[in-house]
Amino acid sequence: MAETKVSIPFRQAGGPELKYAPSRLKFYIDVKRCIECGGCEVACKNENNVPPGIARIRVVTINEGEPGETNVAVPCMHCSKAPCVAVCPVDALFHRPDGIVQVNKETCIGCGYCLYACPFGAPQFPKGDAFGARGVMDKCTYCAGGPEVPFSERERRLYGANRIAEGKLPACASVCATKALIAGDGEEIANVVRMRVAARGAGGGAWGWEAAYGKGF
Amino acid sequence: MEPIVLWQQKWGLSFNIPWYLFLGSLAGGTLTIGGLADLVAGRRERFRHLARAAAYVTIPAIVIGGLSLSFHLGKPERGFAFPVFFTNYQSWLTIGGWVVGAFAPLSVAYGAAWYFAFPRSTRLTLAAFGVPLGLVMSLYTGFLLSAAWVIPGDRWYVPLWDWRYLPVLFALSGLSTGFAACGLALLVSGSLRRFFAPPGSAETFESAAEVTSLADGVSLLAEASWVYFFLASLAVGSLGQQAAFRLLTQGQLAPWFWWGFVATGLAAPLAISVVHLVSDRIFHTPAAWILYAKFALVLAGGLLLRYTVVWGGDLKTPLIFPPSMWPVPGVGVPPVSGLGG
Amino acid sequence: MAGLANVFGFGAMTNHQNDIRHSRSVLIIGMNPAENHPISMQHILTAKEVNRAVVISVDPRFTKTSAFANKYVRIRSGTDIPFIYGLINLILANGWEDKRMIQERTYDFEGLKAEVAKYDLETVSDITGASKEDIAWVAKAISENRPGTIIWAMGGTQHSNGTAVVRTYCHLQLVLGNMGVPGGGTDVFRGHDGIQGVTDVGGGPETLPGYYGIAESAWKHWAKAWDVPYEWLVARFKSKALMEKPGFTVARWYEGVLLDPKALGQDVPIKALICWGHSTNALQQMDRVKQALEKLELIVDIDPFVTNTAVLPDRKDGIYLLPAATNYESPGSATNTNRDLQWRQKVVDPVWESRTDLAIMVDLAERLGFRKQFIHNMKGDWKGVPASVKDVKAFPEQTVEDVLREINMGVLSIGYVGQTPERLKRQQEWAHVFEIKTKKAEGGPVHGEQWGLPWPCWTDTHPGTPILYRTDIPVSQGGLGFRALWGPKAPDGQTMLAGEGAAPPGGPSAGYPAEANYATDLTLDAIKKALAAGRAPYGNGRARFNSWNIPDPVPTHREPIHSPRPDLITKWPTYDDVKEHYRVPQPYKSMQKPEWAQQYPVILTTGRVVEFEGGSAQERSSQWLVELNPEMYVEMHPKLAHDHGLRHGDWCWIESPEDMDGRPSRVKVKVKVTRRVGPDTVFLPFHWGGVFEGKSLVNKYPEGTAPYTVGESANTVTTYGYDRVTQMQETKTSLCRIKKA
Repeated sequence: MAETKVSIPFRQAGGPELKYAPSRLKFYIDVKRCIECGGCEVACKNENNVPPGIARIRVVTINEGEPGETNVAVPCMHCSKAPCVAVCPVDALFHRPDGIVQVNKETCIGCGYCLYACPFGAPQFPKGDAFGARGVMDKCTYCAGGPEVPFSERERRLYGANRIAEGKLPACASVCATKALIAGDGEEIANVVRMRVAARGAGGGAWGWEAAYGKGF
Repeated sequence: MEPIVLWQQKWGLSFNIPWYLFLGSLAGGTLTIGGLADLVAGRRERFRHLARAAAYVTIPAIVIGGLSLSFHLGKPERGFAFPVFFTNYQSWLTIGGWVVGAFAPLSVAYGAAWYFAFPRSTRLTLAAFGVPLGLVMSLYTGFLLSAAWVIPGDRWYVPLWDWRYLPVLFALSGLSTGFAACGLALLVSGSLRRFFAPPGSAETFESAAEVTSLADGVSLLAEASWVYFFLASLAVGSLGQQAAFRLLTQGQLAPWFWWGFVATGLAAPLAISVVHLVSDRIFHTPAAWILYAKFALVLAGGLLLRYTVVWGGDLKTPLIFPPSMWPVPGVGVPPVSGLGG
Repeated sequence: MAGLANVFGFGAMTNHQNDIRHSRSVLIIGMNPAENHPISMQHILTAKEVNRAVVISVDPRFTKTSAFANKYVRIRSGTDIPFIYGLINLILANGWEDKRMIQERTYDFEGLKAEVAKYDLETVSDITGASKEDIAWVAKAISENRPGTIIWAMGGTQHSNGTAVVRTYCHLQLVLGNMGVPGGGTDVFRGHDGIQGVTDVGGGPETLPGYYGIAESAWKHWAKAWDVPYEWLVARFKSKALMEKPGFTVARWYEGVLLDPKALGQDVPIKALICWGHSTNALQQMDRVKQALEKLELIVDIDPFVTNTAVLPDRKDGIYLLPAATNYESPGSATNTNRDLQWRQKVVDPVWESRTDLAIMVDLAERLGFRKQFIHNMKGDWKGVPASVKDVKAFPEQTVEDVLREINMGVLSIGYVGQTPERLKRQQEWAHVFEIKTKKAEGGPVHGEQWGLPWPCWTDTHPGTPILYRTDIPVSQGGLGFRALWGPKAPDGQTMLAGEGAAPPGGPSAGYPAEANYATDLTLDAIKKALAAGRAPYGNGRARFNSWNIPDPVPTHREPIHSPRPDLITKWPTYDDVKEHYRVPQPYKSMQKPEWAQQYPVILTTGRVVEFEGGSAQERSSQWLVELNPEMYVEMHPKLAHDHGLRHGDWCWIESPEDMDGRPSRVKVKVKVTRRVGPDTVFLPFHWGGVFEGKSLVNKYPEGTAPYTVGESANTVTTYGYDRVTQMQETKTSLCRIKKA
């Protein structure tokens, strides 16, 4: 098995092993704010030089042109209990301590199982050799590059930008016109969402497994 | 006109996966059939022919299936070296790798046991292992697909790939296509002997083929009943399951399902069986050639079942937007009744 | 702009986008901010969430903005005036108007009342197609939720009576008392971040920089500011008469090429054209533009990308492409729709052969013999310009700063004095201290300044005026009354100065005329004198419901030239023909043919999509944007599509009465079936070029410069129709018919 050194910016080298990471990075998409401007899509493609036909983040619109028109941006959601990580036969997918789910393109065998396990359709498979291998999986990296030396040319070529190692948030959330797409520590995001929900006066329950997959659905 | 990639198709785009599922479960079925025939009724000549045919059919099936499987991977060389690379033992792909890894040599050994006339006890020992392993092989092709639910708590991502029904369906299909493949092999052997061998030797093959056909008919009935239960369960299930049911029976996949699988693979063969039985027992005109058609149809139906199921895998359980989204003031109620805050 | 200027005195957005966070109602009419000003949606949605603001979207299409509105009202394209007057009618009937504002700060309310009385609910509903309930709902909502703002853009202005439409928006806000308050205002969202600056520095055929006009006094002011003899300027023109006559507009310059000079306002046709950062596929009647481009002797196209201009005409030579640098390759200032100035920094030196616009300009001036005067003004020469600028690609930053300083010096009319390069750059450095709702700085060396020093910024210590016409703060803090642009008295003798109490504190308590010479006193003494006395330099006057100097003094509804309702054409006809307007004849009544409604029964409207901007030679060369929206299309309602035997993705021809040598002009486009448009309307985005009437022009692009996507230009089929005052094109309302391809 290929041994790849994973460089994890948050863990102190040689220090005590932390049981919990300092933060768990998440995305949240506020559907009451997303206007389908496409800024996130373009920023991601530009920042990571994503090949045509692959959409690491895409905006989905329902009820286009009718009352009830709603948009939501769908990147990889970096699930805490990620189905893709669970089904990958070669353990190419893994969680970083900060919660970001990444794929090791060296290890990936391109079987496509993660694609079927993911409820969001985040894993995608480029056809050509643009990313250096025949059809291995590509997906949103939270702009955290991949299991390579940060900022190396190899990381740039295989995975795209590494903004997290620069201390920045992903490109998509950084350019969101209406702050519909917010990224950062899960707790901080939850606070923002709580404020918004309280201001709007709507009932509770933003995202969650029960909402998406609760009884009856 | 936005070309947004929602969910990429992968397994349904090329022939590899459906053919692997078909051949893999067929191979499992034939090994089980052969082993059972050998163990239970090996003394009788007809069943010996059946067991031998099964043993020979299994090998090309698993070899071609295995190659198909490997070449669908982005990196096939890693597929071949799976003991080294497949480290996630919770994944059905890994389990399947080991199943195929055990099955292939066993089936080769069993075929060799017949071809090189190994002692009967050796052969029967191999058969004893082969029967369960063959079943596991067919079942596993179903588990492979329906394991896309791994998060605990009954969350199906692909509603059509229901782990309670799909593995058994594939196993039953494996048996029915197994019988069909063996039957075809027996018929062909019989026909060849009719032309090139001394007269009289063809009849046993043909009667073996008839026995096979009978058994095939039984397994087809079982398969048809299972499909019925499967569809019934989908039709009354969750939103996603109902959508899958509609897709399969009324939607884009309906022609493939009804004409390709049910008509070709279940109804027509059963009808032919009845005709054959009637013509044989009542009118005493054995028309063995009609069985060629029957077996071919069963095989075609089995293959189309796999294609249909894989294509149906593109339908995912619908994600529901958060309740806080509704109702939008001044705009109205949610588009799906029952959603609400 | 003319609409706003003719009501209030200044032609610009009165509040600013961040200010919408104070609004309690937001009426968005003829505008789609979700696609065309995405960042502004942050403020609109915050108002909706935090203030529980009522967001109302009035549009012929259910746009992406309408999806966020509390109320969406569909009106027929071109029926804004009846809709607004219907609202005002209800407001007056219920006594919801702001009597104080009307009494103290407006002129000829009686005239407005008389006109508005014609627009009862029944009439309005018939003309616009909106239901009576919806109209009443909107009137009640905006009256109960004040302060409220009204937002518009091309949907309001691109009509043959666009200026009148804009005036009615202003009248509505005056009647409601929403002027001069945070959260209120008439907020026209102008295009990109430099668009307001373009008109401010004189990008129009009827004015010199600063809206001074082109009369002798204007020329003399600038002759002084530029330090060139007035006679020298006169001598550059063929005659003084032509020098003081408004020129051709961008909307109709091509008529100056095609028409017989006897019909023109000058005795020779146009022979040469310089397109400087301009897309010809944004022009209505593009088929005539094509003909003109073929007839010209010389065409120069200055742009970073190869535009439609280069490939549209069928000609073999005479087109020169000059590669210009983008805004990333040069520093400079830009004035956006909020009237804010911001300093742009250079990111990279001009690439390949590109030269900055300024370098190209000065090089041209040098070769044509007037470099000396061009780079010189009252304060001296621009610094940093080398002895010869041939082949100079860009000037140093100090040269660009001097250009802004020249504007600071000369543009006094609208108060461009205080936005010096130093102050702008300092604001950039201290951007983090500006509060988001008011855009006011708290602390640091910029304390008290407003972001962007929005004009009028009368002196270099004035903080800027983010909200126009506020009388609750002193002038030194940005307070203002309405501009006393039309003298102290109206033609009928009524006073045009504001009433008692309607004045910013710290100065006179009632209206007063403009300070003498404030706009031409380059020493700034006049301005300083006014400020010292607590007076606004431009006076304190009344806003006009009746703009007596332009046609229709009190706006009235006029059907679009291409109207689907012959019965309404009779009742609300268009204007009388105009013999000459901006040097070209401008017929109206003679172009309005009721029989078109039968031959071309579908309303055609055009507009923008979020992925592209304008002619989009630049945007269609971006692989990412093109991947999101790769093809030209027409939006069609399912019923309309099915009636024509069309399905989603089919090809069809859209034909219009635009005359292409005796036959209707047409475009071949794909059908996008959607309910965004009603069953009587189709929508064409106007961003594409490179295909003309089904024929591809891709091979005409120089090698490697063709954009990733080409398509039919919507403006091939847009028809004649121009605003009575500004000659703005009527691209929002036309007629067409559909044929399966």
